[in-house]
Amino acid sequence: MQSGLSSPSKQYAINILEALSIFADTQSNLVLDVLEGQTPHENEKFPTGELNFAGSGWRGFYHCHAAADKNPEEHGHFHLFVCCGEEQWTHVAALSIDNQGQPRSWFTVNQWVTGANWLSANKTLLLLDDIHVPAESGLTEQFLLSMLGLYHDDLSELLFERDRRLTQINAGANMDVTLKNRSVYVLSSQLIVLQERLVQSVRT
Amino acid sequence: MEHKYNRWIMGTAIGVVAIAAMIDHTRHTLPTAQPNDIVIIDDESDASPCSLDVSPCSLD
Repeated sequence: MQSGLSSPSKQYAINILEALSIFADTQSNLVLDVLEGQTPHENEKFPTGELNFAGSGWRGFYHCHAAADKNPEEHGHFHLFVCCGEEQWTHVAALSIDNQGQPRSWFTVNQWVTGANWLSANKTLLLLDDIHVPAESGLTEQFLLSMLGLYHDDLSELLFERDRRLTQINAGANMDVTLKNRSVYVLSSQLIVLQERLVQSVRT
Repeated sequence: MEHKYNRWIMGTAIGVVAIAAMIDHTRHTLPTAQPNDIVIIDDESDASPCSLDVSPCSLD
């Protein structure tokens, strides 16, 4: 991993490129890395033992929903959680992956989907500042943590949009009911063109 | 292992073509997720399908 570069975005971009270079050389990618040669089953979580990001306060996993329940352009997605207290976790966002193993979008979900602690966008964003990528991180962990850093501003927008949507849907009713409303699933999303973002970031 | 792309990253002139080539070399068709044959008796109808907690879909 690189350090001492001119901007945090550039450093995150270099970290991602470093992981991509190894994936390219080993004919792998984010998803093949966590599948470790296994055939996924619907709702099965990968990798075995989850992603713990070298104990840096993040957890995550990859899974695929049933074909009938998902966008055909999506293979599956990584759910990413950040520590918000002792043994307490909050969901930040999910990274949707296409059928070729490439990031396709970020999205946020309602509380019932991930079941973790619910924090407002403002409080969640405090936990996203200065994301550190530990040297001990696995390749996929390095990639994902760096994606969180590289897309910090986009995730900020997504989280605020998530909260706005919830407020609109809630319309003054009991928020606890809305957070558990199973007809409300994805609350905000944004398509990703990673190549463009990497090019922009390494030129800064 | 020597990684041929690392030279491009470490250099000062990584460009659009190099990044595109690197990404292209990570495109691999992923195995289709198979239907889950395990019958789950859901006695916890409020379970979150994407949670970290102990659940039919948990890592724990």
